[in-house]
Amino acid sequence: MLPGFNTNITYKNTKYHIQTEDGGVKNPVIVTFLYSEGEIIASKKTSYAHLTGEADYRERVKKFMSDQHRSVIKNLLAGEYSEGKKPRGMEETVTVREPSRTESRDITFLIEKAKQVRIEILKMLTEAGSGHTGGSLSACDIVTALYFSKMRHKPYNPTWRERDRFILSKGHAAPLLYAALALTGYFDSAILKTLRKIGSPLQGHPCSRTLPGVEISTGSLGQGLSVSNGIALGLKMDNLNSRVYCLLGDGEIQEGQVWEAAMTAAHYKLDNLCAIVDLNGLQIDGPVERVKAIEPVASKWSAFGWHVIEIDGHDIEAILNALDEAETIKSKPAVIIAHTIKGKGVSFFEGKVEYHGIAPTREELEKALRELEGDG
Amino acid sequence: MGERSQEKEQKKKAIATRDAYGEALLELGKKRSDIVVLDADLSGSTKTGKFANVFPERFYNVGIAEQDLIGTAGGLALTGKLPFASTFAIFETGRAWEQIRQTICYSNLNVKLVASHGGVSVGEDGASHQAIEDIALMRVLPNMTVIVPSDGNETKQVINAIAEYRGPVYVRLGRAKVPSVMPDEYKFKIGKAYIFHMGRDVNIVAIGIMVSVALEASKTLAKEGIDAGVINMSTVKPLDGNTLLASAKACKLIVTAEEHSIIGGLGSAVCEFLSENFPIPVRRIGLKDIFGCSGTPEELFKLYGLTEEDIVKTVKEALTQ
Repeated sequence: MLPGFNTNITYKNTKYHIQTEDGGVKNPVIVTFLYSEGEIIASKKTSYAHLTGEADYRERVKKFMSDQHRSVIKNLLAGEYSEGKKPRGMEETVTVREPSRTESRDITFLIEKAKQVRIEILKMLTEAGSGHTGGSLSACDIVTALYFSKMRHKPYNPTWRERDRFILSKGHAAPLLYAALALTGYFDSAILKTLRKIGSPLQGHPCSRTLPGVEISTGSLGQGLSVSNGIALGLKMDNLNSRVYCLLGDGEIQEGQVWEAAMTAAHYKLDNLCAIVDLNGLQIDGPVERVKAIEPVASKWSAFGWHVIEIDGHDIEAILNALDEAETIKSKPAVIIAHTIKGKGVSFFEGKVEYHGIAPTREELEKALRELEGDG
Repeated sequence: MGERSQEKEQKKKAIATRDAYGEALLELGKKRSDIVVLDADLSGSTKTGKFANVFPERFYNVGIAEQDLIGTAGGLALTGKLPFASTFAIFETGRAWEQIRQTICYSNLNVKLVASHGGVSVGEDGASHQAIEDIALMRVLPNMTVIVPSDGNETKQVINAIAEYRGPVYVRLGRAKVPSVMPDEYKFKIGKAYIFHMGRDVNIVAIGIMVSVALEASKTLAKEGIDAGVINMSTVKPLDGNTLLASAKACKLIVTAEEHSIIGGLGSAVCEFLSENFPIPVRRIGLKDIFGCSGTPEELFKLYGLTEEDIVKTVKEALTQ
């Protein structure tokens, strides 16, 4: 653990204290707290997990600390934390990702990961011979951004108390969840080919009793948001800062329970909860708007007391920005309406309702892999 | 104590099982900080309101939204809390059945479902509010334990016992006051039936309010020279097969008594067990595939054949056949 920095400053007749600490090798983060009259009014936390393996890491971390300490002082003197401006809270959280060693904002890296996740989804579905292709691919970039960047989680310790939680309410996108879990190190990727086979922990729809990393069994639509609310309430009771992410399908929000839960989340001001609606526009029987219209989706959530963010659900940077924005919202839950394309990433699956619930054939897989790997 | 003064004593201790629940929950809340309670706008009737008044920070009212009630309770259990989720029996087990199946039982979450207003003793509110299918609905679910306490004393013990047990539990409580039937020294254990006495002619296996009715019937039958035993099968699932087997071997007839449909409840559970292990004549007292209606509990018990006289008549008819 490296020695910290402490500075006292008087700015506009108010005394401030700035303190920067090193979490040490076991908790490789640098935290800076800005105190005013004994209370923390802002903080900044940065992970340096990616540096710990480096030979000159002590020098680099020292510089890192000094830079972060000075940046908070600079912001203070620039009036960032003055009265009239809301305290910014956790101004920047670079997540501690273990064991992956990526920069959370490394978009190129995340795009590459999303591609790998898609490849695993297609391979396991082909192997299984059945399953939900379209909705796994449409939410792929969102789930990649969560698992490889935004979420704080420890794949080697799936029940880590302080982890962020991900609830796949649209349980039929199980292949997507399984690929994300395998590629972040929850289990050996070799297990993916057992999907839907007798005795496999990879059930047709996620089962929490058989697979570590699955928080709750889902598959019957409309139930995940209520469970997410319960988790969010429990985390608040325990004063944990962990966040809950709940992925819903757009057809799924036709379920009444979703709106019961939406009311509950707003009533209990669950600002540690972020729902994401994968708005791919298609459900089994056809276009959602034709089967039973759900639009206007954004104003529905807004009317239910949620902070609404609308994005292109395939733009990794937009997804990360939206997840960050959601984290800044206080006293209400946030929902990200992600406009997506069903079957995204494989041209001949895109926008095709018939690929909601069928797996690719061997030929389709080969063609799809060529396309994804850029040789097609 | 003479019989009459004993009866007086029992009447004095008469308390609705839902009231006993409210008291037990409050006491449990004082002892354990992990207890959280959820209700769906019926906390006054289910008596969870007592807990809510003392521990508002551990009480969540989700409004009139039973499906959400179950999911939220499940989520709280996932963070290590011990949730008690309450509402009326038919709304909890009927309206939210699939949520209980999918979220609670399939994932085997440590959630306690404690519902009031089981059976026709609900009275005037009528069929819409009288659960006569709840035991069947809960019994069919893998991982679920089903308990129907018979009086206030037993209810309090049940609540404490299920708090110590890990896994989903359904407890059915009643709206109406019930006489105290269990002896003071009684110790409830999940899966263990209580034998009041083992009969040589017939054994009446009863649950809930019907235990007190069965005890009355047993007295009447004794006067007529029929030795009728009474067994409180408060845990309907897992059924106490050993006690049931012993009681069947000891007599000529088993009668089941419950304030529930004769399809799928205690009567079915007993028949399933006996037909495989020790086939013997069985008669089922309960609602005979019919909905309840409005009326006083006493009137409804008469209408649906749930009285002491009905049990006596059923026993006598069956024994002469």
